[in-house]
Amino acid sequence: MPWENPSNIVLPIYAAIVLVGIYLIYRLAKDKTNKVSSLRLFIQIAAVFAVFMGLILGPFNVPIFQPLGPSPRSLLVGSNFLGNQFPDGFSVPILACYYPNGRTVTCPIWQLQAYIFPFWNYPRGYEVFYSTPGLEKMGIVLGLVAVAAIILGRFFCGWLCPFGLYQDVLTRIRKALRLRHLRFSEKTNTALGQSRYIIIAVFLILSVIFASYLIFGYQLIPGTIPGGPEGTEAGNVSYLNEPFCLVCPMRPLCVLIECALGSMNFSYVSKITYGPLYILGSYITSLNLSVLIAVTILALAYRRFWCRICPLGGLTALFSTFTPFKQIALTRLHKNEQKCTKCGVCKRVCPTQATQVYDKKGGDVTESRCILCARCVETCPYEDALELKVAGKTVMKSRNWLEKE
Amino acid sequence: MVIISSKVSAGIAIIVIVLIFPWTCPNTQAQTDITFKPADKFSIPSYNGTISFAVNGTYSKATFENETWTFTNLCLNGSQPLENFTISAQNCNVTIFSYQTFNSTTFQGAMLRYEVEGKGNQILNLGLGPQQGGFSASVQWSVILSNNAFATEGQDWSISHDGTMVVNGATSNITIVHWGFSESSVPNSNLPFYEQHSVAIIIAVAVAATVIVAVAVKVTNRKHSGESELVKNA
Repeated sequence: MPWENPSNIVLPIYAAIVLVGIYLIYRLAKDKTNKVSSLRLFIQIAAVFAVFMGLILGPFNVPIFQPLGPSPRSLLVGSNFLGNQFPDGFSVPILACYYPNGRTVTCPIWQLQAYIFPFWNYPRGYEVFYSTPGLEKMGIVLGLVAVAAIILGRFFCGWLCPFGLYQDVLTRIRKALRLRHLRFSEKTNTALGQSRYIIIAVFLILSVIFASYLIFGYQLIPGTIPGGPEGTEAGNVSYLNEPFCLVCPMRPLCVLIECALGSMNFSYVSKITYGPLYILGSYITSLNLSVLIAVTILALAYRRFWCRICPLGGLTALFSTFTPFKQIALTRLHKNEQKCTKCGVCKRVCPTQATQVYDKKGGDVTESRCILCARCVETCPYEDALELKVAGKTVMKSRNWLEKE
Repeated sequence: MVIISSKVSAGIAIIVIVLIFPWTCPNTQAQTDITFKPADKFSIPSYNGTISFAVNGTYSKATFENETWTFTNLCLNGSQPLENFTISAQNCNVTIFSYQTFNSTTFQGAMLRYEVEGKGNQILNLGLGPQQGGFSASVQWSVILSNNAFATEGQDWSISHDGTMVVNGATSNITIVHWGFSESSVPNSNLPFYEQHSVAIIIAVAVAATVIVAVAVKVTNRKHSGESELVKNA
């Protein structure tokens, strides 16, 4: 019976806490200009718990809830479903990588890079089966991302991504310090948005180059046995042949969270390094740390800086804001032309400087830079001028918060 | 009070010993085992090398042929036995510390740790079966140096198709790891297509269903909004 396994009660309790939290915020938050933000912050924190604990398995199949019995993960996405054909976890478009969440939820960017590389094919190098299962797995990843993006779009970025939460916390720190944020010019911001696709392309090409010896039997660039140019971090970390992961700013945070939770031993992380700090590799590379520091500084100055160049966000946007997916995507931001007075609040509060919400006359104003955070809906002072719709149903709409109730 | 006769207690003791003993060194035939100690050296004179063990252990047979020692059912301090382990050392002394295996439902691995004195070559075969495929052994084998760095295949070590590994130039602790998957993890080509590719099929169905539902929702919404526009205009 379900109640005989104590771990079975973890998920219902977690779900109950989240629902009660949402209800309390909805009922108690009086300030209408912060109501949605408070809700979003709560859901972001709940999502971090879900990703790192809730769904729930530590690295290398060590259940965090060991005293409670088997992990609740098996109740959700049990290995029988994913099985041997797809053992690396569900592809969910949020930055949270494979090691920390124990293959329950996995970053699709990691998977796309990894499946180019025959290392991840069964039976792991005994035969060269790589092209069929590799491509099949890439198809599975893209299929899962497409489903997620068609249903929720970049809602994942705005409401669920742990790195989004990190940047929002930085914004709150900046606000607490009473510092104003900076803005990119429209041209620069557009260029940053386009760079996401260049970043995806570059890193997928690098994955092939770094794995060329294993894929083709010869090196496209000499000295790249087995995982990158010799003497570089990619080369030193050997099998870890996913170049984007070597620079991903979320990775050190993932390791930090897992070490804090006790499901990853920090000495294990710190011991598996290669060379001095400037070239250290494996779990955290100096490139990871450098990019994290740079992104932290930039995100303090520019709201949600990383989201503007995030390749994963770009991939999600590809399946939700570009034709033909744009026509069928279910979560949309809608503007009512008659109600809008062009006051420009929406444009000013948008953390990624999306402009369509202001520039476009009316109708669907969702664009690839929009992370569906609903900050514009929250701050728009005109009744029903902006609406967040899911499957045509309004789930949030702007209120006239200037008028006292 | 229950009195147990001496014959019964002796029988129980024998059963217990029989049950427990295979745990400590499974698949080992005790009556033919030869024990060794850390002080025992297995020398290879023409190669100027020796093999020794840092722990006590047993083997059922050890032969020396072609400057190579072959140990049958080598068991180190209660480890899983290495059924057919061959090793040779050129210009160096090798001390073997441990041999471990690790198993899960989909994954099997083995790990051998040893220390080298002198800058020479170690030629060894763990007897885990022939090396199949040809692109790279580095996906199945790792040679890890004392600073936890992975030695480079082709430069610091190599492996032939029969599984014989040559490690060269190392002068400290070496860990050789074999990564492998059990039969259950290998896609079974005898299965029907839909079972071999069930996840891909489920995802394809999910994508198709999502698209169909999304299109239906959009069409319905457009219909409703068109009707409400008509009502407004009227």
